[in-house]
Amino acid sequence: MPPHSCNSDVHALSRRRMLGVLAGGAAAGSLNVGALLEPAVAEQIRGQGRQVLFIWLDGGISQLESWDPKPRSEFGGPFRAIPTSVPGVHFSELVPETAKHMDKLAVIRSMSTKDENHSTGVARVQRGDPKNRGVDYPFLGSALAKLLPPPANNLPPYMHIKPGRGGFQWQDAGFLGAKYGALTLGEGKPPIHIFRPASVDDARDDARNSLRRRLNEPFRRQRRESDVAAYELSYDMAEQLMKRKDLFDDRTLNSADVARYGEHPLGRHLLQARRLLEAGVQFVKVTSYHWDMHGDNFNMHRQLVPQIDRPFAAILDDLAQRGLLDRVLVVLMSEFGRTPKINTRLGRDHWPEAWSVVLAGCGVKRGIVVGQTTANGAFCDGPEYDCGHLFHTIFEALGVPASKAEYVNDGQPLPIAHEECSKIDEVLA
Amino acid sequence: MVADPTLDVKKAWQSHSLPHDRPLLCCAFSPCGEYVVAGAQDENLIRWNLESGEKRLLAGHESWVHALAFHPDRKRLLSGDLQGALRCWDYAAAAPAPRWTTPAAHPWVQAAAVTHDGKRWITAGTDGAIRFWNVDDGQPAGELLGHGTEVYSLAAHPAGKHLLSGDLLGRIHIWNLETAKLERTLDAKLLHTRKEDFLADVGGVRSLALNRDGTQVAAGGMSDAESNTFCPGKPAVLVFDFASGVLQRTLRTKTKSDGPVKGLVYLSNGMLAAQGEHLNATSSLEFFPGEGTEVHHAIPRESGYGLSLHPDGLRLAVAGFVNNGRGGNGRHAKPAEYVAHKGALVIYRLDEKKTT
Repeated sequence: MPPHSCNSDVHALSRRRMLGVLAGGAAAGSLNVGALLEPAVAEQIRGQGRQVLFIWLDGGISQLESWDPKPRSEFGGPFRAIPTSVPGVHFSELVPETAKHMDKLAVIRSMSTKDENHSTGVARVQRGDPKNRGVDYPFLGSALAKLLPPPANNLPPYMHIKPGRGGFQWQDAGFLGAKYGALTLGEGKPPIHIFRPASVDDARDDARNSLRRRLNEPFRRQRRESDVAAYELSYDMAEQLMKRKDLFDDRTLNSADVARYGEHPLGRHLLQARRLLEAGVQFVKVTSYHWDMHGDNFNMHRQLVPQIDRPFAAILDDLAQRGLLDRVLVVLMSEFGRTPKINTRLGRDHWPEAWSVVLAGCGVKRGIVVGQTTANGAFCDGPEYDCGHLFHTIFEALGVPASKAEYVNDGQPLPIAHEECSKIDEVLA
Repeated sequence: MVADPTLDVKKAWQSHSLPHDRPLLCCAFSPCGEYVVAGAQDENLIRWNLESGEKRLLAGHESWVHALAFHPDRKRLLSGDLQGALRCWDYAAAAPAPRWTTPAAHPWVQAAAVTHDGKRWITAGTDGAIRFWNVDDGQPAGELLGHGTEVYSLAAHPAGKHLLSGDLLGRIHIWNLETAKLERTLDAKLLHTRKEDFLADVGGVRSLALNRDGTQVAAGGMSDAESNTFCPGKPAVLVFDFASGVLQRTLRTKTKSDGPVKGLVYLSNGMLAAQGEHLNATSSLEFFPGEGTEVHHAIPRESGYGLSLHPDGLRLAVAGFVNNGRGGNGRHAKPAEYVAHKGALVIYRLDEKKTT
């Protein structure tokens, strides 16, 4: 029997169907733990109003074809390096638009992480690769939904734009509990149920919600708190989104913006991300798949990299012009880098040994490169940084003191980032 | 060229393996028959003297050389690289130096050829253009536009009137060089894949070859790409009747490979030789008869990216890859052991090995 089954009469009303699709995924989560931040530490968090744009290139963009070019070297590939807006810093010729914004960026060129596998790498990196304590740590978006003060706008704090289907990704929340999961917008589109049928007027809608709340009460008494909290949160999100349908109305988009960002998925999704950030969504993740060029690496990078270069430069421009770059932290990263060694299919494989991450905005220095790789680009030359260092740095940039803050999970204190790592001081403003 | 009666691909044997520090991407025998040249995953153009084995690096390119064409005057060679530069060489000189250089013919020069009358070099690139250049001074001499996407391959028809060009989307344009007009297009779309969730087009007509009398057109590439990441597909060669444009045969390799056929040549007896690529595994050089679709003979070997037939019709060169230690996904590699893969220009003789 499923652990949530209680044989109550409530189920005769087909509860799942009534509660709707927004909460559907949350119901399956393992929610028997709660999580609290130590109150004293919570007081110290000064992150009110801070936001994050987290761009995830699933797989790995080649550091050699983007942020750490090594032209005419052993593994350099056919592309040349071009100057950026910061003298002495060069990027690959494939990112000419972003190169113009190097003065806004902090580029870490000495990431050295542990996992070369997709199956474990995505979660491991996005959870900050903490020490194994037998619990699933939250993804970064869920962690910040917990750690940062809730935004006043009541919009879902963690929204995820990705190709394909949307839904509610409760799994991202790990031990924090389902309500810290991600509201996922497939193709950047809103959940279809935020559009109330024309036949349902305000009065009828109120009556429906009232019924739902009444039915929730006996259900709540027989369930763990976090289950119901997740359901309730899903409905709260839906109610808020129903008031903000304008965020998804493509008719309001400026055609020049559409052209600047591009009409490919990353262009459309980053433009949607800009709208969500402008509306005050706390953490917006944008995922792009298919960055895994084991074959035909150079033709594929020539086709794909412009799809991130242009919209990334556009959103940096827009955030800066709107004054948002002071409060929005931008993170652009992958699971790992790509092998310097070029394989039989003119591809590059997975390479966690030495790769690059790009940051911009809130709390980080502008126009700096941190760390370096060897002349052939294969290894870090000097200090290396792991996911734990990156998480410490991101938390610090947002005003969360990662070396002091802890989650409390069923009485167990858990560091919010790997305790053997520390923030990268050179990155922080 | 009349087929040599001793040509028998089933008796093919490796006569030379000419090493280089990086994998080789393209190759061509000189029309005089004394040299073979190759482009590599570095900035060198490499020339080997076939008799002495002397290797000479022709320096000057600033990116990988991906396109080669010899002039029928037996003096000049054109090379094009992936920064768009063209260089024209006196290839047989003791220390060849460029006669002229054009720095930006295309973003990437993907293919090169020469007109039948020897007056113009022809190049094709990632900008979708086909361009003509005076052989003597490299001055622009016209262009053909119409692909609208990357052009990967060129072949000049032996009768001199037509030029064939193959593109990323699987189209083979047949241009009339007398009118400078597009005459017709062969449908090789099997060699292109773009699924709904792909971020890029995959495949294309990566190689083109015409048989001796120009009655058949062969196009190499791969079909059924599964993704735009690994880009794994099914190697394929499409054979068209030139006059009618009808697809006559679809040839599949016998040995497992997952990359496009980039090396493709007609032998003097009408057979086709095709070289494949395989991700981190052995590929093959395969021979197809003039009719039918069954593979006549296959030689397992490393991945290769270019083929050339010697003027004598009995030697076939493969520009390719030589494994040099662990690659693939990884971590904990030792810096001293983590070095680039190598390359070799392997020459196969297509007749029986004589015992002494």
